[in-house]
Amino acid sequence: MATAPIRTLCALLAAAFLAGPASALELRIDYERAFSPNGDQSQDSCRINVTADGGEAELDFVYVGIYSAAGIPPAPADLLIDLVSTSVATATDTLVTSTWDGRDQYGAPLADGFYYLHAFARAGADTLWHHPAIQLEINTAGPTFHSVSMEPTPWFTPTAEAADTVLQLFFTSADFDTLTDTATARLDRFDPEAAAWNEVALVERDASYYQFTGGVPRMRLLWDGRDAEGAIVDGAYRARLRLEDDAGNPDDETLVGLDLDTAAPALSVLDFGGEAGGATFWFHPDSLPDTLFVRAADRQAVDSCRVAWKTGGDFDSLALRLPGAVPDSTDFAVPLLPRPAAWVGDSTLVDGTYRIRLDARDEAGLWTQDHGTVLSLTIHVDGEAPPAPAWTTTTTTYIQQVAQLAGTCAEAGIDVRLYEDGDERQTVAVNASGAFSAYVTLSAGVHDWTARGVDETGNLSPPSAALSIAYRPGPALAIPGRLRGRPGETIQINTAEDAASVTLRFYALTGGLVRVIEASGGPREFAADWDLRDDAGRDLLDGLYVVNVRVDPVQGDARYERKVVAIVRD
Amino acid sequence: MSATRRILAAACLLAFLAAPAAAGSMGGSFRLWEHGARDLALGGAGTLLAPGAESLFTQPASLVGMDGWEAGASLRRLGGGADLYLSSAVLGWGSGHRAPLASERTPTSLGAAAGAFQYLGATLADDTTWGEWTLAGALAWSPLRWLSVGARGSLAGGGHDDGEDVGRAVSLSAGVRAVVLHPALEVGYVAEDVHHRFRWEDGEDRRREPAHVFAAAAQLPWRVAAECLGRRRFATWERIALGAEWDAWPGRLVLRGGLTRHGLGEARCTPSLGFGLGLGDFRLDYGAAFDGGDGPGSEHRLALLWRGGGP
Repeated sequence: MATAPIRTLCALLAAAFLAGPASALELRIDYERAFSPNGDQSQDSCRINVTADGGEAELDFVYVGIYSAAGIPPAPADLLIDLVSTSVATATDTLVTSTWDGRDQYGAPLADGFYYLHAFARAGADTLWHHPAIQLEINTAGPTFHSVSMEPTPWFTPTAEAADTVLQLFFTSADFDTLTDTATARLDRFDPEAAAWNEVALVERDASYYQFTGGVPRMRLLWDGRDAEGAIVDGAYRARLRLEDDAGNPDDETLVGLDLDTAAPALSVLDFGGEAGGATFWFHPDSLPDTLFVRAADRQAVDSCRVAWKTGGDFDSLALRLPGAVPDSTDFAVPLLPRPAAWVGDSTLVDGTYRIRLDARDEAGLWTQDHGTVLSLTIHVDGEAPPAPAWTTTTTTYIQQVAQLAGTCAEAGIDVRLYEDGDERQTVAVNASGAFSAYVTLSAGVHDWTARGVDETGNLSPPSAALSIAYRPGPALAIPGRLRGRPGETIQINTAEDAASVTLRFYALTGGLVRVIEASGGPREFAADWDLRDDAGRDLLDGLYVVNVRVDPVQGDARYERKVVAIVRD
Repeated sequence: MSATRRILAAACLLAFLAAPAAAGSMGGSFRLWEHGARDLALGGAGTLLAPGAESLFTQPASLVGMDGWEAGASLRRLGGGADLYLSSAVLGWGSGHRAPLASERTPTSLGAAAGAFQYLGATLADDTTWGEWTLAGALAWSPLRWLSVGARGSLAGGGHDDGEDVGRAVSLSAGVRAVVLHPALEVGYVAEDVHHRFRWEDGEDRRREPAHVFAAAAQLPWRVAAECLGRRRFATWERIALGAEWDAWPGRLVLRGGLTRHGLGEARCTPSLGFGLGLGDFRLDYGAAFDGGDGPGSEHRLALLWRGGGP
C-alpha cells in the first residue's frame, strides 16, 4: 500500500534512527490533542503546526504523518495519512501547517480512538531528526454518565461519625477516555421559605481515585458537607454533576438529590392541660392532666420518643407514637396516669415540683440528646392558695382618672387581680421583690378597691383590705402629704384653663431650692413624680419641704400655689 | 492647762467633729431652726455681734454676749399658702460681762449657758397635720476677751400627728468667734450639724451633711455682717447673706435690712427687712423675708426678748 517515496523515506528514517538525531536540529509541534470530527462545528479537526529549526544546517525536507502506532520508526503498514511531505529550499528553519479531519488517506473517517503523529525533518542526506510520536484522540461520542451513586445514603450526617464526615459521589462514564474528562459537582441547598435552590458549594473530581469495576472506570467526587462559608447546614441538597471532555463534545449533566441531616428532632409541648409550648407548667393537684402530648419536628420521620421522669434520671419509658397530622412532624403521647413511680413512690401526688425529660430520634438515627436540646419540663403542683396582698398605695383621693395602685404580696411571681367594688378590673404580675403596681382607670366617686393573688395553678388568695379611693375630677391640686418613694405617689395638677406648662419647685425649709420638676401632660391635666432626690440626684433627708406649683396658662400670668409635704421613707 | 492649750484642744475637737464621717444628705427637718426675727431681718447674717440668748440657734459661741438672765420667744410663719409655723422659746444665763476695756465694742461674759424648745407644726398638702419638737442646750466659754467658743446639742422628735411616723434625731454643733485686727471687727465659724443622726422608729439611721458657716461682722456706728454657708460634699455655697443694722433711736428703735443669695438650684436673692423696739428690759423684733413668685414664699418672724441684767 505504501508508495515508493514513502518506502524510501522509511529506509532513511530507519538509518537516521539508528544514527541518532543531529543535535543542532529541532522540531517544535503545536497541536490539539483531542477532537471530534462529527460535524458539530466544535473541534471538528485537529490543527498541527510544525516548526523545524536546523540551527546552522540548511533543511531540505519536512514530513508529518498520522499512524496507528507509536513505535519509531513507524511501520509503513501503520500509516494512515501523510499530512505534510515537502522539500525546503535551503532554509535553516521553516514552519509547516496542516489540519487533520480525522480521515485516512482514502478519505474514510476513522473510528474513535488514539492515533499517533510522527514528524521528521532532514538537513542533508545524512541528517534526519524524528520527533517523538504524539498521541492524538478522535472522540466523537463525548462524556456520558453511566451510573451515579452516593455513600452514605440516603442521609449524610457530616457531624456524626467519622465514616460519614465525607460524602462520596461515585460515577461511571460511557466515554472511552473518561480519565481526561473534567468532572464537577455544584451543590445546591433548598431554601424552603423561598422555595428555591441556592448554590452553596462546588467540588471537583477526586484525582487520586480511579477504579475499574466490571470493565468500566469508576470515579468520585468528595464533599465534606460545608458550604462556601465553611458552615455545615442541615437541609435538602442536590448535586449538579457535570462531565466535560477536551475533544469539543457536548458536556453531560446529571442531577442527584441528597439529604444533609445534622439536626435531631425538635421537641415541643403539643398539649399539656390545654397549654402548648413552654417548659414550665403549674397545676393544681386535682387538675394535673393524664397525658402529655409532645410534637417532634424533623425533616425526616421520627421513629422514637423516650421519657425520663427526673432531671438526672435515665430514659426509662417510651412515648406512644400518634398518627402524624402535620408534615415534617410526629406526635407522641406520654401517659401520666398512673402517676410515675419516680414522682410519687408508693404515695399519692403531693404539692411540689416534678420534672419530665424527653428525647427523640429521627430516621437518620440522630437523637435529640446528642444533636440538640432535650425537652425538659418542670411541673409545679400547687394546691395552696397564696397569701392576701396588701396595699402600699396611701393616696386615696385622685383628681385624674388614671391612677397607679401598688401593693405587695408575700408570694412573688404570681398575679394579682384588682377589683373595683368587687368587679374584676385588671390583672398585674407580682415582681421578684413581691411588689406589684398597675395603672387603673378610676370611676367617678368613691369606690373600694381590693386585690387578690392568683398563682399559676389558679389558686386564689383571700382579698386584701379594701382601699377606698375617691376620684373627683375638676381643677384641683392633688399632692400626697407624705411621700414615701413608693409607686403611685404621683402629684396631679388639674388646671381650670389650658396651661402651657406646670413647674414644681421643692424647697428645704432653710429656703434652698433642692429640685425642679416639669410636670408632664396637658393641657389641663398634668402629673409629676418626685424620686425624693435633689437636682444632683442625691437622696434628700426625711422631713418637711415646701413645694411651689407654678402654672403657666396659655394666656395670662403665671399662678403659684405652695404646699408643705413631708418625706417619710419606709 | 493654760488657756492657749485649752483653745487649741477645743479647736482640734471642733475640726474632728466637723470632718464628715460618711456621706450625708441635706434638707429635711428634725433639727433646730433659726429663731430670731433679728436674724431673719439681717438676711440670716446675725450670728455675730454678741446678740445673746438667741445665738443658741445660730452661733453658740455668741452666747457669751449675755450679761445675766435672758429669755425669749418667737413665732415664725410662712406666707404664700404654705401652712407652716414655728414657735420657739429660749432661756439663757451669762456669768456677767467683764468690765469693758476702753476700745472694746462687744463686751462678753466668761461663760454662758442656754436652753431652748421649739415646736414646728404644719398642715401637709393632703390636709393631714405634722408636728415635731426640738430640745436644745448650749454652753459657751470665753477664755480671752477677744475669743469665745461654744457647743450645742439638740434632740428632736415627733413627726406625723397620727402617730404612725415618729422620728428621732440628735445633733451637735460647735462654733468659735473672735475679735480680730480691730476691736470692732468680729469673725466667726460654726460647724453646724457636725453630728446629726436621724431615724424613724425601727428605721435606718440617716445623716445630715454638716454645714460650715463663715461669718464676719463689723461694729461701726451701724452694724454690718456677712455670712456664707456651704457643705463640703456638695461643693457649693448654699447661702450667702449680707445684713445691716442701724440704731435709728438708740435704745428704742433699730432698723434692719438684709439680702440672701441662695446658691442651690436656680440661684436667687431674697431681700429682708425688720425692726426692733426697745421697751425697758424687753425688746420686740420683727423680721420678714420676701420670697414670692418662684420662691418658697415670704416668711415672717416676731420675737420677744427679755434681758434680766447682770448678776
